[in-house]
Amino acid sequence: MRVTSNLFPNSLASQLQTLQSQIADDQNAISTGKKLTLPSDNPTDYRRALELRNSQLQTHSFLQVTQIVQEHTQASYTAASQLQTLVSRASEIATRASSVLSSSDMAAMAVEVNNLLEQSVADGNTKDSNGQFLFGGNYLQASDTDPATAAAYVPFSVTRNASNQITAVTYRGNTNVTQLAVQDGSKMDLNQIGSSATGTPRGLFVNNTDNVFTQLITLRDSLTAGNAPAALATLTGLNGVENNVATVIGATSANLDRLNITTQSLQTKLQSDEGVLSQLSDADYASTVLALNQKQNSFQAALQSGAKILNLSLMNYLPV
Amino acid sequence: MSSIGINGALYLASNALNAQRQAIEITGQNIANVNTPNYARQRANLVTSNTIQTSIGQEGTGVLVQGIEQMRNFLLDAQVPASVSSLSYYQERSSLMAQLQSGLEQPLDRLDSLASNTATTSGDGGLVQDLQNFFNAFQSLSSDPTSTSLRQQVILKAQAVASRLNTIGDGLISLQTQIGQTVSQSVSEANTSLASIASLNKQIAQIEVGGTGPRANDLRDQRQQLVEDLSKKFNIYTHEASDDTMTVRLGDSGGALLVSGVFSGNTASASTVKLTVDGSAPTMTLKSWTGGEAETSLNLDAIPGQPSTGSVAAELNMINTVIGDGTTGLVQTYDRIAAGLAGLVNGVHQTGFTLQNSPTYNTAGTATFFDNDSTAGNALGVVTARNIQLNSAVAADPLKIAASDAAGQPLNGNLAAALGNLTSNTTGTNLGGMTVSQYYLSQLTSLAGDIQATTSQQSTAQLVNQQLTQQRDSVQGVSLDEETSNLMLYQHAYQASARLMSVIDSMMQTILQIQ
Repeated sequence: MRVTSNLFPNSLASQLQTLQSQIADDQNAISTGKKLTLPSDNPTDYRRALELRNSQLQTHSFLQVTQIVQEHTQASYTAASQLQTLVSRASEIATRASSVLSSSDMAAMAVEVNNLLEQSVADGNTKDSNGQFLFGGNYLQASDTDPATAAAYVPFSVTRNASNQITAVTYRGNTNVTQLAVQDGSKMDLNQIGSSATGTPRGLFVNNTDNVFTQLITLRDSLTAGNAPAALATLTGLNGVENNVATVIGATSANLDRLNITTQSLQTKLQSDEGVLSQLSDADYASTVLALNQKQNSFQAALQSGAKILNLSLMNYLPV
Repeated sequence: MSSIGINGALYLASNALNAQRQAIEITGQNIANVNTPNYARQRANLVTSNTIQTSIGQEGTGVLVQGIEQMRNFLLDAQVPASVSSLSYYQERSSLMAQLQSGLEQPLDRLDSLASNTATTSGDGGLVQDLQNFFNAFQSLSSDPTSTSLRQQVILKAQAVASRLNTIGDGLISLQTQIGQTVSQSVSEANTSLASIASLNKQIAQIEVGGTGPRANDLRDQRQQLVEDLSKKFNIYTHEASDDTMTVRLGDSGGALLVSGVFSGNTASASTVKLTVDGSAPTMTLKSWTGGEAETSLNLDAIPGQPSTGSVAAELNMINTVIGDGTTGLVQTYDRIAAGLAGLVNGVHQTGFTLQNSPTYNTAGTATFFDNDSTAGNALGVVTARNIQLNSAVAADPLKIAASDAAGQPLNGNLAAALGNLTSNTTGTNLGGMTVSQYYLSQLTSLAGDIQATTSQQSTAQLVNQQLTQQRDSVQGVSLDEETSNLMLYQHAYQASARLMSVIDSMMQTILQIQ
């Protein structure tokens, strides 16, 4: 082929342009650490990477929800444990009640049981970290006025006698359990119900006929009246309550275990997704630097050969 | 008969001097135009001048320049514009696609920290991340439906999605309008080039007189350059007539007649047409106009089975097909995403109950969580990417977000959970049985594949054009080394002719000195 004067510079310019473009791509990959910067770099990998990142965002969201469920479940577990201790103490008092005790001893025991009753009501009206009642189902907010009582809403509202003693405890909450998704296709209960007349779902303080408040009021009143047999008779009911609380504690404990496993599983998924995402979108420094060096060498060689060829001309040999 | 004689010899030397000088001038012209685009090198056609019958036989009278020949390969001259046209199409398409891609704002950023339970990224994650963050905000709200900060998060994320769609939708239309202006400009320039070709046809015909006159080399160079400039814009067909004029048609030999002889445009005395653009983005058509009202649509893909060529074809394809309108292209894609998202969210949201009206909590959620009307409560119209917005009443009052699926249950977050679960819902209208994100990603992947293919086709077209241009340059291009050697050749011949003249002069002096 006949070679013209513009063939070399045109070819050199085109080759240098191509090499510079490739060097710029490699340099961009090295400086950003990414081999994918635009969807058109690799449409399939880019899509997969975006899906993985979305999956990570969703996993983060699941972790956030799992943490909240964990906090609620832990709070329920703590309250149930306290209630268990409280009921055990009440059972112990009921067991000690006998006719050999003096009336002042019985009165002192009644005072203690009354305190246990007050404490159990307070436990029933425990609030979560967001300031909402833990055992009221999904009924009113803590800041609401209860339409039925025209007073500030509490899940367990009490009726007191002239001596300011609790004579009745009424559950104002509902029996709705909020279920939250903690993983794809997996939901867990957020809240423990305080009271359930039917036993489904299980109530912590009142479950079907196992009513901690009724038992404590009866025990207190029996002790106040010096009626040791009646006080002793509450033992059966208290045992039922204790069993119910133990069941709740068992279930809550199992839920906490499951939540721990879920958290680990979500974190593993997050790490796994990150690994794949890294393979898809991160630049391999070793190979990229190597490729950059090769292209730099080519670029240098093209410049040198171009400079040599372009310098040669017959004009240089014409007599002046 | 005697020989040409001493005067004849002087005349011969004089002719030789002239011929070598003219050859040097032509060499100079070649050297001067070494970098002129589309310049075809010229060569002095040296021939022996007339011979004279003498007593000793046929005797030459020297040399003369019969003409100036332009080194052109007409086959390559016809092939190069076609390759230019093809390359121009892919270059323009690739460039516009790159603009489009950056306008879609879909980067790939990594999450800040895997240890953190907060789903944040350091940079912008594009629409796909906005959508996921929006649904995640509802998931978070389901765990604490009374939280004002979580409700505010839902509002912020919803506004981010709407704003992103608005930006992309507006960007598409803006790009479409800009491309439309380029098309109009290109067509206007093309009509000017066509008029220039017709004018050059006239000058060339006047000089060459049907092949009997001298070649109008420089004018032909200019005409070829105009043809190649025109080829960047359109796929054109050219044919040189016997009167040395060039006929130009759009597409192929049966395409619309753009230049015929000395006529172009809607000249009354010829059947040539003027190019016009009909309509504006998003539907623009190239038409021919012969004056009056009549306009005919022109098909830029005039050669069946051949790929589109020319930048205008790429631009019109981008306007009408790739970007499109509400019924086609990317505008339709993003409108479907906006309408699909609004339909899904609104459908669920209106079945729930807000955190308003304590302690009854019996206010149903608005049917227009996403709407296209700044006036709250109006009927939902057609939601598009450009007009989607968060209901202004909801935006102003976070309590109006419905998170509960039953009245009187403010702590019930079931509806928020259901709204969050819409991230995996595949029943959105016109989303092809995919989730909103999946539909978006499938369309993005399709576009990215198109861009990748265009880049590859551009490389191929570039290679073809480079090879054809090199082949043509090997014929018509100037080689300085060759011209330098020619220069030396003609210079030496000139020196020798001058020496000859000097010898003859000496001979004449000798004769004149005879007493």
